[in-house]
Amino acid sequence: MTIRIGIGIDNASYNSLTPEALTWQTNIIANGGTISEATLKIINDNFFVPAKANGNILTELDRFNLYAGLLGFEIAARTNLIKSAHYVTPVSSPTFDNLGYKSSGTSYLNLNYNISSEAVKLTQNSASIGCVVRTPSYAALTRMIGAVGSTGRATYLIRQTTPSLLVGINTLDGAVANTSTSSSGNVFFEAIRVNNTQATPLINGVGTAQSQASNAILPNVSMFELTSNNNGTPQGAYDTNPHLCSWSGSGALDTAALRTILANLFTALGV
Amino acid sequence: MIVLKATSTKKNSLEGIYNNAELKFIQDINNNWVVNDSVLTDDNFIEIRDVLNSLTKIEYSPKIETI
Repeated sequence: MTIRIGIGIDNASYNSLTPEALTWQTNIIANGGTISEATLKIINDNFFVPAKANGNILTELDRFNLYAGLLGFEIAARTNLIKSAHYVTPVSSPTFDNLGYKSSGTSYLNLNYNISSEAVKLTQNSASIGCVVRTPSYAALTRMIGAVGSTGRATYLIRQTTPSLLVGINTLDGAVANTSTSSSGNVFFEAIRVNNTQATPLINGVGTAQSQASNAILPNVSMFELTSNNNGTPQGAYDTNPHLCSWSGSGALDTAALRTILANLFTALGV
Repeated sequence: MIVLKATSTKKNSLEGIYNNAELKFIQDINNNWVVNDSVLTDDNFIEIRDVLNSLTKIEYSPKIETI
């Protein structure tokens, strides 16, 4: 009979992290933060592994920030999971807890992501932006995320009483709307553009393409979250509902798969 | 909601980056420069906490929002 006694951490499971998860951890540490091995393993197994297996998601995103399930690891929440760029700056103390970030009334996030000069996957006629909000209210105009540059060129997601979601994506042409309201649990809001004539506003994956011309130049200011950046100034209508995550990428992003992965990730994180 | 009100001069002297977090005032409906009082308990701004504590506290009146 052989008896084996093991002492110490579970190296086998720690070493099974994907290179992408380890790179994210390296970037977190470079930003001055940390993350527990247990939390990193959950995010590895429920985000990086399925997203990599999908073959589309990790390559079609410019940025993805996970804000929820990271209480105690705020630097990790601010660190982009896709690459080292676009480290998020909290402005005037938004509230951070295990559900992510929410505005305290005049506060917001600067995503340090200028579509015009820094986007790689997101282009004029191939674009996708999204965020997930817990139990979103529709009682008033609420700017979830956006950038409005000079001459009004704009990309944004706005909640409103009626219609419930207004989006603009690389346009001077005003908003297109989606009225399929959902305020239950974690609600996915997205805008997708795959050509120069239409944009699609999605709530929990529901929505249809609508006419919206793209303009010739991308928004040339950094994107804000929990409000919108109006040519350098926060545009008000701050979102006081928690944002669990947000992303930007190409119009070819497999958003259906991303929604499934994120739903499973939130379950695994208990949010 | 309570916010901290600053003069234009004070606002200009306080705004900036502290510990990788940013302090920025906005204008309310009366064009006062204000920031949410949550900054008072944010350790990123500990080096200017005394100055923030000296600002006048007022009720926030947002500008009328339009699309």
